[in-house]
Amino acid sequence: MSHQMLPVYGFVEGDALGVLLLIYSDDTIEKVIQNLQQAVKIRVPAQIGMSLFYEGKILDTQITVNQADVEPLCRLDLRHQK
Amino acid sequence: MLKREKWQHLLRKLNWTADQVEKNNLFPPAMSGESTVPTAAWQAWDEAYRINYHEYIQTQYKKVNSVNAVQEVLGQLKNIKKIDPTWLNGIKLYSAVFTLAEYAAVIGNLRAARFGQDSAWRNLSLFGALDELRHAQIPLKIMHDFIRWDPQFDWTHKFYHSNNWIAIAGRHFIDELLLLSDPIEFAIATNFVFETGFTNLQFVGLTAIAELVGDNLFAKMLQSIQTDEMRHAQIGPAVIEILIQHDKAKVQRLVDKWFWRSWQLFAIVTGLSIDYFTPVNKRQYSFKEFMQEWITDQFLNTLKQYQLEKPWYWDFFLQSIDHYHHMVAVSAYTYRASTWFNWHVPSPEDRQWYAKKYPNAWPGIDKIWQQIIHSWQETPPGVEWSVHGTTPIGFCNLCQLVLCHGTPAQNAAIVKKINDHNYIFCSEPCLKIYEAEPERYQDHKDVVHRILCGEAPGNVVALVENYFGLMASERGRDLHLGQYSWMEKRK
Repeated sequence: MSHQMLPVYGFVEGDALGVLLLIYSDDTIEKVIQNLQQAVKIRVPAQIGMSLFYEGKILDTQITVNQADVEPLCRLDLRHQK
Repeated sequence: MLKREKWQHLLRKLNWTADQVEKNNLFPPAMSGESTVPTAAWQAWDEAYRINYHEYIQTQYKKVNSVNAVQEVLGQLKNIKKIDPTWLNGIKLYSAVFTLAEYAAVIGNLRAARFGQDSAWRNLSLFGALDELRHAQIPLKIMHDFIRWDPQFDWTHKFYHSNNWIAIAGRHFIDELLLLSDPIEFAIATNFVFETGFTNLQFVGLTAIAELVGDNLFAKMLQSIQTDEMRHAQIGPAVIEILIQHDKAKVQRLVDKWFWRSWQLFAIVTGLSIDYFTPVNKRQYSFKEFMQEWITDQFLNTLKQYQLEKPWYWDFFLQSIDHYHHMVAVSAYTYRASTWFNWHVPSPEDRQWYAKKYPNAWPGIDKIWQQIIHSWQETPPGVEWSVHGTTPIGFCNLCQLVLCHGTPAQNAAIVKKINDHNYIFCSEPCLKIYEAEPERYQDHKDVVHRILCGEAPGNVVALVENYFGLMASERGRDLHLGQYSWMEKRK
């Protein structure tokens, strides 16, 4: 499995800005969520029950970034399911 | 001796008929501005001040002397040290962003002084250039004396020579507004939108607050600058009155574009100065209230006067008056080492005031401040990096500012694929501005792209120190080192 670095923009519900997150193609979505929560924890406490959205769809936490077809410099949103 | 009114019109209206060169060589469209206005129509150009050089020098001489006299009395360190340090951070922000921007405005005015298509326009633009030179010199002179006490004041001059993220955004804006614009775009963007619309926030709103805070030197400086602005701002309406008869769509397009770009700059510089760097007991009106008076009421009336429409993004703009500068403030606090001025956590009184003035926006913003307070409660005082962001952040590919539009519940950033690459924009107006003139913007690298191509470090500490150029003594910090009387520390 490839191990390519991917820069993406991460937005967490409740936060005031978007951050630049460097993720890897073989990271699971669960790991991406953890990294994103860690990146914004100074402003937003980590919460359970949030999902990672990409182009309007929830990403399965068990699949990898590669499997999710996440593109470089795309927008990922961590938020509660509406 | 002839009376003024007998010769004044001859002095202002010295348009000559070119018989040795083509009109397009004398006023190349690339330099004078593309328009469908016939040459003869520009000769109706007029404004109310009709000043001449002799009068200009006499008036400016008095103004300069007046500022110098005030500086002599109030500009000493002992006086500045008496002013609330919270307020001084607004002065550091203002001085850095506006001082050398005024200097760049000399170029924009001089271009109009050569390539404006009527002599009265050229004449007033020359005075505008001289004005802007003075507007750069006054704060440089005043702030210079404070550097030996506080090196952050050095950023009055240093700012635009740095790769600080706010400077990158500032240059992107200033280069286009003041250095790149032809005289028509300059007149609408700078003289009309920026100076007629937004500078009232600075020169009326901020001046009044400066007096309340006891910073009479800053108030005097702004007042002195304002009298010049009022005069040369007249270039804008005078250009619009002619252009609108021939190309109303162009006027509307330029107003829409520059209103948005100017709004973002003022939201950050003036919005933060009024709502965050003015001590709560001196705040009479919120930034939003100033915006409602000067922009949503007065400037909108001016647009109606010319039968221009509100900018197409008006509803989004109204929402951003509530949220944007608060989103920027709380974000920037968590990246304060990347600025050249200090920040503070809003006190319970501050937060009560914000809740009253911004009932829609504040609950979401306050939750973020609560989390920051929580972090400080668990951190020993002065350990700045424990309560500081360490992940690089995103920047808009148009305005180069942080991605802070929308609300905490729904950030307004948009990713758009252009030529097979993803670009991010903080808001729809920024995306549309980019799409309207991609050739103007596509080669500019934002901070993220500079990091990704190895020009800038990805590590935030190295980025602040080595790329943004902030030495330890200049870096923004918490004004109280995280030690607030109202904040209970956890053991």
